[in-house]
Amino acid sequence: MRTITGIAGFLCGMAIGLALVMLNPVVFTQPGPPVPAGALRTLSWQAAHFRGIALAPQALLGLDSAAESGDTFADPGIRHARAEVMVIPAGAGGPALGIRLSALARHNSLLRARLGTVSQTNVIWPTDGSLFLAGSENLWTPLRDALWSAVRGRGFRPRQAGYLLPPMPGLTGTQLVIGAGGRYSGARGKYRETLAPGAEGSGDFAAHREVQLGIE
Amino acid sequence: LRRTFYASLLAGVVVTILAAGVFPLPQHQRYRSITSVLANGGRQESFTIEWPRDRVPLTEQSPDGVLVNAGGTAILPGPGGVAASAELFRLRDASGNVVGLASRATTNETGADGKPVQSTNWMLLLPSRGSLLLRQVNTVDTTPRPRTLGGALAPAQDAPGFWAGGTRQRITGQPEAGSAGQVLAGTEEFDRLQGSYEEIWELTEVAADGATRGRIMLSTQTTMTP
Repeated sequence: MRTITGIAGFLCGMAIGLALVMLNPVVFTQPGPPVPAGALRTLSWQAAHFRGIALAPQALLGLDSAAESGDTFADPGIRHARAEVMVIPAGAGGPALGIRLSALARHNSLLRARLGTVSQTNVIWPTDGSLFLAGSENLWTPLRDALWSAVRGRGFRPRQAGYLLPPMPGLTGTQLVIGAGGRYSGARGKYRETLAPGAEGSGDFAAHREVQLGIE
Repeated sequence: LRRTFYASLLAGVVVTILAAGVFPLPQHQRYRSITSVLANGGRQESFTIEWPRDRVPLTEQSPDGVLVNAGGTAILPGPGGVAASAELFRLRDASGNVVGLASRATTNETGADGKPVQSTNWMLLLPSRGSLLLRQVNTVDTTPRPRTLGGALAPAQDAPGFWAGGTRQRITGQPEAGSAGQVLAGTEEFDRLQGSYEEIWELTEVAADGATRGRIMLSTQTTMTP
């Protein structure tokens, strides 16, 4: 009887410990996304075909058993990286071509509620100009919601329609807009990004992204 | 029994939190940086891309049907043919190790003097170190073009006549013409680095069907900004 009680207590303790980690209060001490200033521009796009890791709990936690197959890179230096090319409906000026390179952030930590990626995005408006977005995204909150949903038997599906993503704590020079060419040459600013998750089973959190740029 | 239960409960909480602390999250393989120090205190670092083996294949067509794949290059069509193009590559260090991913985006735009120019933006992402964002004005047209009259678009280096001027082509504009390649920004270990770079294509082999092999060399010279 004592053994059964001990096991039951230990399992309950593990459940409480898991809940404490998931509901990590550290997340409330982390910096939020920047508030862009200056001329604002909003870009949004649907997820496109990508090569590399999926933005899903398995890949973020390194539990992806399919990591050696499919579209994931086999080279050790880029095994946890991702590349995608997309069309960004940009309104006036026609569509833009977008390229996004990202990788798991180097200082991810479950105890410090850091689980995210660093990313670089290049947006090119033909004949008009181009700019870079250099930033990071802490995916802790959507991941937590997805795990919580899974615990309740509803599958890995973040519950919110959209997540305003904070940058990874501790990184400097993040969420930057850097003008490259054309009318954006020399421009500087900040951006913030909202991620809308896809349906469960889509294999990727990032079904739709919206970026609000502030160019000073 | 109650004491056993609470002791086990506490042990379960502690073990789970400790396990979260030592959980082996994915780490990037890191290779030793191969840099040299310049006389002005800056540093030089070179990267290479070998085509076609380092080209990251793209999907045949984007879901919305707007992007077109031309031999591994994504093309945004425009009124004059190619409005913008994007290529993805594995990026190697000077020793040939794959250290990151690189993207190359090319478009035509209006230059500072009001004349049309072709420009290229590079993003170099080294997951274990950070990223570099580069921009240049091209001296050579690198947009995809048909390999045969009326044929499908293919990468510029496979097009007939591209190598007529020699097997080594400097793509970046000349510094003396005021159009050197610029290192615009960097992140993480490359944070606050600015400087210049040059892009050189070198042909090593031409197959019977006209497909080529070669390498793209990116040589960066950077200094720390205050």
